[in-house]
Amino acid sequence: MEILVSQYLDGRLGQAEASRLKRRLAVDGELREQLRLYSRLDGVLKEGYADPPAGVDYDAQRAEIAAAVERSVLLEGLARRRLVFRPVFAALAAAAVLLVAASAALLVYKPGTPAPTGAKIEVAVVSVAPPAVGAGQLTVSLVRPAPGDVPELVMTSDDDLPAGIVIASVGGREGPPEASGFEMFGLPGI
Amino acid sequence: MDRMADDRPGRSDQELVVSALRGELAAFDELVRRHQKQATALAYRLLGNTDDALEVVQEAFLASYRKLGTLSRQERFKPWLLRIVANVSLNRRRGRALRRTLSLEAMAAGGDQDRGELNRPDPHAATGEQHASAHELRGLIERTIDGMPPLQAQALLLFVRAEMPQKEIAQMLGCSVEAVKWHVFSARKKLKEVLKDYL
Repeated sequence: MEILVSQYLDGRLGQAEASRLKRRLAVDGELREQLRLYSRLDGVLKEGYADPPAGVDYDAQRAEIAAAVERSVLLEGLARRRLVFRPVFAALAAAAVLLVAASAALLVYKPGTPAPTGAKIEVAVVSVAPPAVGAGQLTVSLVRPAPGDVPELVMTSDDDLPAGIVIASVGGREGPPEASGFEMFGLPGI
Repeated sequence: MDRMADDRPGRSDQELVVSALRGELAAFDELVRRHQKQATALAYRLLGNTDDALEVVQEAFLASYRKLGTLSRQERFKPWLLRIVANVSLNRRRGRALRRTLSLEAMAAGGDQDRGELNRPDPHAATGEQHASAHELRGLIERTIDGMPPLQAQALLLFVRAEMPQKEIAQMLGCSVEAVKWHVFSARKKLKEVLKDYL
């Protein structure tokens, strides 16, 4: 029944249904109370909301909206321009980087130039196995031999050296020597 | 602002939309002037707060400008705009209700449980007045609406406060007209229970 009352208030009941409800309302006090409550409820819900809010400066509101729209138009224009130019700039930047890299490589890389002598480093020898190749010498290779590098690193390992310490002279590029037969560790600068 | 120069009166909404789409900002400004009061009134009815309503209206007009190209029936600018206003308002209201719930939960967790009752006013308050103040009653109504399932609350607000046709509400909420009727009834019933001492 309550739903009929609600719809009656909204004017959504057909004529026949509305007449039936009216007849019922005439004799049913509880139903009349429901009608009163729902009717009052709608009034309370709308109270204070029927009119537009007071004190609004509509000219200022319009100006703010216009400013927001203009900002949006400007930003959209910038974004579009950025989209158009981004690939061009990216391509130009990539070309410039490639050019600089190629020039640097040509300057640095000169085939046949002897490798500079490297600094002396200390190498801690943890173990020596298998024993030295040849008399009083160990041979190790660089990890990444490159043109100009000394392909083989000759390490002194005479019996007179203090136990576990080998002085090695590394020529060419820096890089950890690959241990052959013995381990190395904690080599600053390598 | 050269493009603002041409704001000839008497042009239809459709003509103004077409001009705005060509980049004539004056045309859009005229659309704002024409519909801002109604848009603000609608947002206010749905939000119950003037500041929120003004922000929502600005957001809605901006959104409508950005989406203007998607408006297929340009003569229907006004209902389309009001729908955007309603949508943005209801979203704002949902966010507001969520924040309020979270802050109440935080208060309750902090031991301030008395306030967990949503500050329900006492209809038989010690002042001797039979009814709580209009301000308190309004607060209770808003909080009760915010505590409802979203579809119920939205159907009620759009139908009772915004006085939108049920068919349009059904389209907005993505449900049938019958469902709208049911949601409105359920929401009214709930409010009637909560407010029966004040009605």
